[in-house]
Formats: sequence, C-alpha cells, structure tokens
Amino acid sequence: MAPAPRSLALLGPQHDRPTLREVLDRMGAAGPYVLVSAGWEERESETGRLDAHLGEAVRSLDLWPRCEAAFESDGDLRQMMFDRHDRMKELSTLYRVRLAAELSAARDLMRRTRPDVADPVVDPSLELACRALRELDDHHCARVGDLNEEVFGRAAERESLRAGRAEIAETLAAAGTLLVAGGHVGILYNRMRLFGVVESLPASTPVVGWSAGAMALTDRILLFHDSPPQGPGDAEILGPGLGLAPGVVALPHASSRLDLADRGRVALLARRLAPELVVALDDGDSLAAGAGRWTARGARRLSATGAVVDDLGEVEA
Amino acid sequence: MTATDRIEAAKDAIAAQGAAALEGLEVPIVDGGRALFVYEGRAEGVWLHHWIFGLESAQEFLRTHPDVWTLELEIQRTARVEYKLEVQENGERQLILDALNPAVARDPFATNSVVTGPDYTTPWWAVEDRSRRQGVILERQLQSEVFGDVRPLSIFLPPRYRVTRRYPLLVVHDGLDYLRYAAFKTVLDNLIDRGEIPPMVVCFTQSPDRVHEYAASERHAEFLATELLPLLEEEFSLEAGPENRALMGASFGAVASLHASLQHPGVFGRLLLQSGSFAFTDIGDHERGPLFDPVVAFVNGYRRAPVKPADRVFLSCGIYESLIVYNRTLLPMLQSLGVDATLVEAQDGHNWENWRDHLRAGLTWLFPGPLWMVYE
Repeated sequence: MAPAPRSLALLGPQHDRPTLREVLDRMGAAGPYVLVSAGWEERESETGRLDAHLGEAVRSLDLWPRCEAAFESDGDLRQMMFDRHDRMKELSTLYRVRLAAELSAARDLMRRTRPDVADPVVDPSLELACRALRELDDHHCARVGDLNEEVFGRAAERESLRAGRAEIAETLAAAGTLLVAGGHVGILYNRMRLFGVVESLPASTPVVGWSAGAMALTDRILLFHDSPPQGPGDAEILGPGLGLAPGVVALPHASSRLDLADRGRVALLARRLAPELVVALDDGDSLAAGAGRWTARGARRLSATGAVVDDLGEVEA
Repeated sequence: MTATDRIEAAKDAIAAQGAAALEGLEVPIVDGGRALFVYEGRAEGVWLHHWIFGLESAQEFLRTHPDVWTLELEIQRTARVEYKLEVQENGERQLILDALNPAVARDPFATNSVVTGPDYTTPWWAVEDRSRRQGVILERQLQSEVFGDVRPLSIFLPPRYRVTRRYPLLVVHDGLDYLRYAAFKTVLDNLIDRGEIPPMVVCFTQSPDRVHEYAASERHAEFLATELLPLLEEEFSLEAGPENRALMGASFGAVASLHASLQHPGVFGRLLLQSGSFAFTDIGDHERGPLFDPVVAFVNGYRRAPVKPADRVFLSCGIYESLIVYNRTLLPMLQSLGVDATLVEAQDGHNWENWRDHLRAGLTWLFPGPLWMVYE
C-alpha cells in the first residue's frame, strides 16, 4: 500500500472532550483552517465552539447553503439526487436481504466456537462465512460506487454548481489544513462529492476528520449500532468513502454504539472487514498517519480474536 | 448466602428479634425470584393489594412476631408491581403505603408502593441527562368550537427547532399526565439527542372529561382533525401527509386515538396505543360499567367491519392487566389489514411507569430516527 501522501488524522467525537487543537499542534498542521461541516446540515455555520477551541476562526466552505441554493435553482440537479437516493434505497434493500442471512450464519458458527482459540472443526466454516460477508460488502460497495461515479460525474457538469466549485477550489488552494466535522455521514459525503472537495484539495494539505468526518475520509463507510431500538443491528456498508485514509474502517462512538465486550461480535466485525484496520474512535481518541504508518492515541483496534487492543498491528498507512 | 437463604434468614431473625431485625434491611427483600414484604405495627390483619389480573388481589400476611407481619411472594425477574398494604386495626381496614419501602409511583389518582424484580431497572431514556440538548415546551390555548370551551395545549419543540425545516407531529392524549408521570419530555430529549427518533413536534392535550370524550366520541375526533391539527399546522413547521402525523394515548386515550384515525381516514397515519381499553363482547354483556358502553359498542362494530386505521401501529400492554386479552386480539386483526403493527408485552400493570418504559419502543416504531447515519 502506498504511503499516505499527506499528513492526516482521524478523531473521535469532539463534543465533550475536544482534542482537535492538540492533534493539530502535534501534526504541525497550521491554519488557515478550512472547515467542512455539512454533516451538521442547517447548523453548518454554527462554528462558535470550534473557533473558541482552536483559538482562531475557521473558514467554512458553506457546502450546505451552497447545495440548498443549487437545488433551489436547478430542478434537474435536485431530481438527479432524488433519483440517486431512491436507487440507494433499492440497492440497500437488496443488500440487506443477503446481509441478514449471511450474518445470521456467521453468528451461528461463531457461537459454536471461541474467537480466541483455534478450532480446526469450526474455523474453516467460519472463514468461509466471513469471506461470503466480505464479498457481499465488496459487491454492494462497488454497486454504490458505480452509481456515485455516474451521478456525481453528471452533477459536476451542472452550471448551478460551477461557481461554487470554483470558489471552493480557490479556498482549498489557500488552506493550511482541511477539517471535516461529524454529523450526518451520508449528507457530508454527498456534499463533498457535489463540490469536488477532494479533487480540489492540494496533495500536501493536511486533513483532520472527526466522527462522521473521519468515516467519510476512509475507503468504505460502515454504518453500525449493536443495539438500535428496532431491528437486528446489522452493521452495513453505506458505500465508498472519499479514500483519503485508505485501509481504515473508522468507528466513532464505538463504546456506546457497539458491545465491545462481546468477543464474538467484535471478532466477526474485524474478520469481516479484514484486512482493513478496524478502529474504535471514542472521545479523545485519535489515529494519525505519517511516514507510512498509523499512530494511535487512545484509538483501539478490533481484533480477529475479539479483543479490543491498543496495538495497531502491522497495517501500513 | 443464596437469595432464598437470605429471605429465610430474615424471617428467622424477625421471628426471634421482631422489628430490630429490620435494621439496615431494604424492604421488601427481593432476590432470586422471591420477595419478602414486611409490615411493622399493631394490627389485627395485614393484606397486600395489587392489581395483577388473574391473581387473588388480596394476599394475607402472616404474623411473624407480635408486631411484625411478613408475606413471601414470587416475583418475575423483570417485573414491576405496584401495591398497597391493607391493615386492619380495631376492626377497621385501611389501605396505606408500605412505610418500609421508599419506592413509590404516582398517578393522577393515587400513590402506590412499588416492588421490582431483581433485573428491572429504570430505563436510561427516562432518566434526565442535562448534558443532552433540551427541547422546550410552549403553552397555548385553543378556543374550541366543537367543545365550546378553551383547551390548554402544551407543545414540545425539539432542540434547534427551525421554521426552515419540517417536522413530524405527535398528538398525545392525557398529555399533561404523560409529562408528569411518564417523564415524556425527558424521553423525547434523550431519544432525539441519540438520533433514535427524528426531531418532532409533540402536542400534549388534556381533556377535562376524558371518560366521555375519549370513549370513541365523534366530537373528540372532530376536534383533533378539524381544530387541533389546523391550528398546529398554521403555527408550526410540520411535514404534510398522514405518514408524518401520529396519535397516541393510554387506556381510554388509546381508544380515542384509534377511533379518531378511523373517523378521519388519511389524516393520522401512525398510532401508538398503550394498554388500550379495547373491550369487546362476542357473547353476552360486558361487566365494566356504563362508562365502557360506548367503547364496547365501538370495538364491537370495528371487529365486525375492520378497516385499516393507519400504516404503522404500535401496541403495548402489561400482562398483569385484564386488557392484555383485547390487545392480543387486536394485533393479528391489524396485521391482516396490512398494518405494520407490533405488540410489546410488559411484566407490569396499568400504570404510567409501564407506559413510560415502552415509549422508546413505541416512538421509534412510529418514527425511526437518523441513528444509523449520524455520528456527531
């Protein structure tokens, strides 16, 4: 895997115990700080707490109001995104049909063994079940990826987005560091694609994302919750991420959203997503890429044995 | 020492030392599926009264010591049982709270003592957490032509309410009681903050004459559909369409909700019905008193000619209520009509804490939140 071309960090939630300032200082990531907070939706401009934490005002790319204005003026663009939304729902419905069955089989096999002990009888069957899950995830991710390329490719040609994309490219060219905040991960990803944020970002500009922002920067966005109020809590791939942090699956709020004490569940998630580095990012945690390797502070890896461990293993950044 | 041993030891100690043996004990002593109730004081007889359907309501205590009485009962691990003690002294009986048990539950009519099984805990969504974002409650008055009087409304607006967004609407019967006795605002703040339900507008209504107005009353249904809803739509930023409008209530409030949705089809597309008083008679007369006459007539008629009342319906009911039978009957009927319906049964009775404890399941059934997509 090629070393990451830029300095980059993925952080846990910043609401209660913000660590962004110290992470930026440690990285040597200077301002001006340009912010994407479209995941906050209509609250995108409410950056007061962030400004206070950083000790300087961030510059927002205003993706949310720019997008709202474009949808307002360009009915075809709006319809294009509605159609994409509908197709995403269809694809995820199909995906979930098989996902429920494959996960059920894998969980059943996992219950017949222990994830931390080699079991010559069950392990081969379990590995096949995990492989089936990986293939299913890959298949779904690829289908969503094809849809994204087609839709966002067409969207990039829209006149209604042209001026915004140019202004954003100009702002990014002068940015010291790009910050990507959390919130609604689907909206965040879409807005960043619509305005070509990654394409316009200079290759050397450091990037820091937290919570949904961290998820969006990875290769694949995994949606997860072990105990939702309704439904089985099957973690699922939303689709490709922006690919700036390859080889990582980011799990913000892992301690509250996942049952990390359930070794079978942890092991299954880690094996299903292997060889990617599956990382719990709780309050105060960070995972930084530099010089071809990941460095964790608090961030923990979900391992194939079901343990949640401090060492990151041999995964390159 | 095992749980049963503890209960046996407590009984032996009480027999030997009387009230002195109670020092430092949490009473009732609960563990291992058993509960030991204790009454200390002069009496000619002591009984425990609960409202568990199908069990003898009055359970008699035994005199274990001259001034201490005990009663040992089975209790399910996740159960919650409200009770009172009936004490006879000088030939007179009176119902009192269990003085040795600090746990009580309140409702509009009374306060009861509460005993819970060893695995019951107050759910997190009913516990106030000031670190979560808080919604606000506005007070409004509605001049009702239907009723010819003024109806007070308490309206919950979610945190960060904005007129540039549109919100689902939930109308709650016995709303002030839900706020007071079922921690409804706390539940909304917790569930919205966690993304389990979307930010929504909730209108808490209260009737001055619920036993009539909620008993399948056409006037009440008209009030909801033609006065309350237009008022709310005018003042607040609400999403259109029945899939974004819900009615809910407990007991007669559940009857009013189902009835109104049927009276005004296509207006309210979501129902949350808790311990609904859906009494019916297939043979003979009901024995629930005249207040139930219009309810039974409505449910009987509905069972003869059922139609789909809403797209999604959530039912909950305690298994210690006689109403469980009616609710169990309603579920397959709704499902056969194509309703996305579910029934959750509780080891609890006809009370506000039971209803509070199932608000999470009910509200997320009606309006699933953005939980899967939001990572703040």
